[in-house]
Amino acid sequence: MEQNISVIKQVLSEKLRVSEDFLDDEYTLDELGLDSLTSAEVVLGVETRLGVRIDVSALGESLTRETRLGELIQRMAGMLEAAACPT
Amino acid sequence: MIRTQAWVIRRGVDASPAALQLEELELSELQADEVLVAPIYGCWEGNMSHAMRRKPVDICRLRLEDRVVLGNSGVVRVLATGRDIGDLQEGDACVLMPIGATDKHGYLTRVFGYDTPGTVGLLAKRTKTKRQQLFRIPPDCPHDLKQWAATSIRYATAWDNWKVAFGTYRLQMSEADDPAPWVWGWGGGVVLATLQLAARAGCQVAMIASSDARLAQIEASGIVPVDRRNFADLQFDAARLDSDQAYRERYLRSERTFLREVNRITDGRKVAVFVDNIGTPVYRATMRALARQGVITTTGWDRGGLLTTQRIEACMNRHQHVCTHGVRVSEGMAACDYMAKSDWVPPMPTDITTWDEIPKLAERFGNGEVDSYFPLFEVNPELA
Repeated sequence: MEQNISVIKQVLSEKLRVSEDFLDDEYTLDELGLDSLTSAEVVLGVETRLGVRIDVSALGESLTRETRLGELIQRMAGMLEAAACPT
Repeated sequence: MIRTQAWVIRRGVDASPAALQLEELELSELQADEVLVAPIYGCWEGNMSHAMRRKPVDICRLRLEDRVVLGNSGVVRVLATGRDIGDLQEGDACVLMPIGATDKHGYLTRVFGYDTPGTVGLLAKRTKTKRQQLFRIPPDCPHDLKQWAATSIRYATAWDNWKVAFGTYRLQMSEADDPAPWVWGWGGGVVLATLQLAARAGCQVAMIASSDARLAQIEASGIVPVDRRNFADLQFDAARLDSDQAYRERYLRSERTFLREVNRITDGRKVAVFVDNIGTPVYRATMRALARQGVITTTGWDRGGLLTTQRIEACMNRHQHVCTHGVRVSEGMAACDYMAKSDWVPPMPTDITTWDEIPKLAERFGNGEVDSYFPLFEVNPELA
């Protein structure tokens, strides 16, 4: 889980062109300018790094512009965990 | 010939800013449709500083004149009238409506005492106007002439812009939909005047400023003051946002603080009408603060007029853009009439510069050192 979060933060940092330290969990996606296109780029970046597919539509349904960054990261990390350990 | 004295600027020989010089001037004989007036108080306007900086244009070159007398907001005393003018008389106090030229519908295209060739502005002890450039102040009007002096441009411009902006908002959002919309603004005296009007229309109003003195003026006018120093790095620069990570982080932090302040004050409703006379550095944040069906409205571009609009967002949110400048003759007169009959006037100006000190006022204003939204100068104060 921790490693997944670390990778997600790395990709977010690259796509948003900010340092990882800047990525405060309390930012909303809107405040970061994290629109649907950038979000798709982040998902693709994480999938490429970890070799795991994320259910993009399930992720997208749960997000709004007011979603906090911390929640996005936790959801993505949870999906990666689930994808890596199929039941 | 009518001899007088005036602060003039001369045609530039290079890119250096202009300086005010006190010179003798001759006005031609009074024509049948003209009024000879003595300016009493003037108000320093942004356009005067643009002319002093020769940016965006050397106003003398534009007018094909060697020297120009600026000044287009103020009150005057009538000294004499041409033979065709029957409804003004010597001694009347008037507000200058600085409409130099109009299109065929009466909308301003050139400004008296600025870019209209041949006009002598209020930085002169005497000048001449046309009848339609004067609104006679009713003798029983309770407002002080100093308050009127600040209204020529700022209040008339606000009146005209607000009419279009709020009309636009109400096309999509009725009073039943949104009985008390939030109206915010950043800029100077025009914005303050607009927000005063908005409050009279039942709106909730807030204004952003960055000095204690200005925030106090805003609060004294019944407007919620918002301190810009809390988001000082809100200075949008597209190129730096792409290339400079430290700048990008500072900008995003400031933008977050600003948007959270908007959400806090409006209880999450965001801004229905945003009056933005600043332009480029704040445009992105302004658009993000707009509610759905919101209107961004402007009469100016103080810090930059080149903007990038995200059309997808604008369409999806039904955002409307209103741009006006100056005023239609009839609307200018209507604005003055409303002022005469109501309390929609500036607070009593306290920053008043004497005739001899006018160059210092020009310098202070140009350096951003003037806190008052209505910096007056005296021309013939003994005629008040």
